[in-house]
Amino acid sequence: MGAVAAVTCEMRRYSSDDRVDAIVIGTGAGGAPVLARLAQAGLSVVALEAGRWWNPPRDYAQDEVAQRELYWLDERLSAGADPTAFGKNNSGCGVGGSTLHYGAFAPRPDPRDLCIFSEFGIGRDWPLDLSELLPYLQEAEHFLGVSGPSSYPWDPGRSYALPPLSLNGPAQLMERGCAKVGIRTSPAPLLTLSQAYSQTEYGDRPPCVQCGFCHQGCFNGSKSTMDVTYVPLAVKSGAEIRPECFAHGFEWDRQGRISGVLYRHRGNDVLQRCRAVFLCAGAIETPRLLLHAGIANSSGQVGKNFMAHVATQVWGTFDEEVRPYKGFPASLISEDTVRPKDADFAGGYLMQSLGIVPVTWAVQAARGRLLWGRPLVDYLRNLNHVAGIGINGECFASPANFLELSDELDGRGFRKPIIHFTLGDNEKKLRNHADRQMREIWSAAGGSDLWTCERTAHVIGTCRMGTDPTEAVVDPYGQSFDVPNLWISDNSTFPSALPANPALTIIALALRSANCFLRRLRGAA
Amino acid sequence: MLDGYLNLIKSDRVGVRTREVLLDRMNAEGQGAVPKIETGIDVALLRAVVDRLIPRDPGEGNIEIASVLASQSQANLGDGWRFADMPPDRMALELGLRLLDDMARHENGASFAALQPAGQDALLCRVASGAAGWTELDARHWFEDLLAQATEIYVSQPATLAQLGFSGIAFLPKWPTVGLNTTQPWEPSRR
Repeated sequence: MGAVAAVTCEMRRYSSDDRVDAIVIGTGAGGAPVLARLAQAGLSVVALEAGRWWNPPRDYAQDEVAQRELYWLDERLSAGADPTAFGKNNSGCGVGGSTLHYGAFAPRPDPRDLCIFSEFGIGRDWPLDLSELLPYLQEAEHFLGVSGPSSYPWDPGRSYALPPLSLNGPAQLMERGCAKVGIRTSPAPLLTLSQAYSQTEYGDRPPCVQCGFCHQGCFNGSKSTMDVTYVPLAVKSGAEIRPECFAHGFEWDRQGRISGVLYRHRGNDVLQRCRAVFLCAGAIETPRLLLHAGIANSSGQVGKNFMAHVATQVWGTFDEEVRPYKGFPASLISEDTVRPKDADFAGGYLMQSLGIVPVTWAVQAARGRLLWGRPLVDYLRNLNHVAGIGINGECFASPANFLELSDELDGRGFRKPIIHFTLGDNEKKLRNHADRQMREIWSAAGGSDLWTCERTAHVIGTCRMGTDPTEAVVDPYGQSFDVPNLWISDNSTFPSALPANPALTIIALALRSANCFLRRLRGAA
Repeated sequence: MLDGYLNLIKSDRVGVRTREVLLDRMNAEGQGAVPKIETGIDVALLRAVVDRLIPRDPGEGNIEIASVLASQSQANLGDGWRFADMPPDRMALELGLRLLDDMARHENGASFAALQPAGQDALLCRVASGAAGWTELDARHWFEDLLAQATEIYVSQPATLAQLGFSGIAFLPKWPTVGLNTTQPWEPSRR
């Protein structure tokens, strides 16, 4: 019996007439921890997930084309001077959400980045500081299993339970280049197991076999995705997961509270009654659903403040046999650039070594270098000798960057989202700094034929949290200012992008949000 | 040429599902055996364009990138997004091909497919750089999307993976070591 079969055959099921305590829409980093927390507290909870419930050992191929369904493939329209790519670049589809294909790179947010406005006078301070988030970050790290150094260079007190994963070819090259130019590096904190790991809540998970296909789905459960961690905990605690259910509307009671969620399952519309809703569909589908339903938007901020990380990469060719697709793709980090000394911009970025699989790399080279014809075919022959460095750079909200509904309908008859994105002055300066920095590192490491891949990654900030209901969609714990039994838990609530990869922060916020929900529920009772 | 790689695909180092996917792809798309469907797309013209984007020596590889691309387009197999200034994917593909062919006929007096490679490349260069003078379609976005799609089809072919010396499918039960210059004796090298 496969893992999924084992989980589902003992899963509790609710009738659509049962008025469940909460419906969680989305089972990614924002939804799964909430689901588990509420179920553990004894609440009746149902999760609606648009995608399938995969059985990774059976279903996953180490093949980029075959794994395309892990990505959110409903078409989005990308506008602005720097349109951001969707599809395989960000949102996921399936029980586990985008953690199914995330890079599992798990730095904690830097405390300075949560009060960026106080430091630089631009961007926005978060309505919480890191000390408030830290217990949740640590709890999540312990539960999920993080591999990393025993002492973290940029936060000396921090250590990780599991030893780091081996450095692959690109990581060794980046380490060499950084040492020559005087930049500190460390094996990266990774939400992936370097050794077998167990938690009573989900059982045993095996170590990573270094296959390098993390972005195509982890076949053996060594990557700490939601479907092998918080989802089994939630199911064990009495939650029901409903895959292939696309939420698209709400039913209301006379007090203006949500009394049910309408969703479509294989062409049929179903109404599930509920007492509360956690909307955890990510920074595109969350505002899209709110705009579609026309709710929770007295601030006018739903869909506004769209952000994406500056995610520039520099690729080089090396004499050594690199085979960049072997080993954990991004296994080295540097946080020295979170506040570069010579910066002419606010905030900063973190750097990571980049391994890559062939189709992704080839398409990036074709698009990013605009190589075609013989030069493209010849360049691709260098696959076994290339390595990359990439960044996650800070991004601030701008009036020019937002999501709205287009007039074009998708296959279900709902309006497609259109996302406007143009890099601001700060993002451009940061990008240029990072480009110079990465080229310097690659030159020092012996790289040749360097080229820069301009890109942005992660979707952030379309339902931001704050303390002022005229400026924010939800309060600092994720509760809607307008609809008291609606909560949002995902990257849409971020007031600024933070250079740290979002998943770990989303999970910590989700746990904090769920705790607050339970506190307020008990307070009201 | 593929024999060694085929043996690798069939070996225990490759997972069951991965083997199935790769063999299916070779069989379904090999020998031009892609189902012939009415696409509304001028496949001969598309083939002429793709041959310039991904030039291959005669006999190299056995899949027809243009046929696969046309059937993907027909099936509306999107990748989750498009540039907002572009029409839907299939419409964009058809329109761009027509505009390219119009350019060839207008400027060279012959269809694109009938031009010499140098003449074809000169036109494609202008499309790629946005200097094609198209008013109905963003030429650069069209070119980039088509190039990306053709590249994906090309590289995902086992024959291409063999040429690149890609060994990433063959990690089972696990890579004994990773890092620079840790290639195992049985790993393929580029051709």
